[in-house]
Amino acid sequence: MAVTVTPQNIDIAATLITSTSVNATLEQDITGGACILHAIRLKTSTADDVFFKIWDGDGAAVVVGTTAPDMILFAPGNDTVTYTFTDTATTGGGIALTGMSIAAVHNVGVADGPGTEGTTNPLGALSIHAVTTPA
Amino acid sequence: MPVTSALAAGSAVTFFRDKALTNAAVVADADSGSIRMIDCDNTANASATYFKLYNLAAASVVFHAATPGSSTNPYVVIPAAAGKRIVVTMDTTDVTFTTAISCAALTTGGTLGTTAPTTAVGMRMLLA
Repeated sequence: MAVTVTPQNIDIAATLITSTSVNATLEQDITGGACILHAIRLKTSTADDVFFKIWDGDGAAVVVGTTAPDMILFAPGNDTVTYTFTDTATTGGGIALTGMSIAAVHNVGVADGPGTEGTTNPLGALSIHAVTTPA
Repeated sequence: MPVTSALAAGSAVTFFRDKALTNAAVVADADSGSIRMIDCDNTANASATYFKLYNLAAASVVFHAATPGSSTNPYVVIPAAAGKRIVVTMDTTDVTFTTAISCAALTTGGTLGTTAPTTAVGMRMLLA
């Protein structure tokens, strides 16, 4: 998959991360280190539900389908959903990550797709837009 | 004790609250429903807690420490670091679980794990 990281020219030094083809192949450390995750927009392109997974760290030891993800977000089929994250104790806070490694898998069934399991690519492209700031 | 209640008479939105969520799954919605907001309160703990949501009735959620395929796969996992309270909002009603909405709190992400947080955590949700 191809991931594009675009620094935003605004005071908070936000970074916009985009990809139109997140799949079951791990994309390691897309932020190049620690970050605060504020929001993710997930867009599916078929009726197939997709599970978007995040591993906290550089992903060097991650095996998709085996290594437990730190975060899992459900992306309904033929839909767009935006998740926003707020750390209630920190102004401008979100979810702190030491690195952000990602993959997305097809919903084969309750036993394979959600959770840790699942190694099958989504049936259609999953597009993501994520907003992060430096840790 | 988990409580689910309508926000107002006739409202399609319900509020779920469990002030002491732990490693025993509890039901937030006994049938299909959508999630609009999740409030994960881990302020009482010095270690991370993973808030997990299942598209199953609570009684059907199984936890196992080490055997893949023996534990129920969560549809959503939200991590809250030590001492943190994380609020997650969704912009649509389309994060819909077709069977039921159940939740639990554990000390590991992904599917496996049986260990409860040292101190039970708080979880609140707005459901539609």
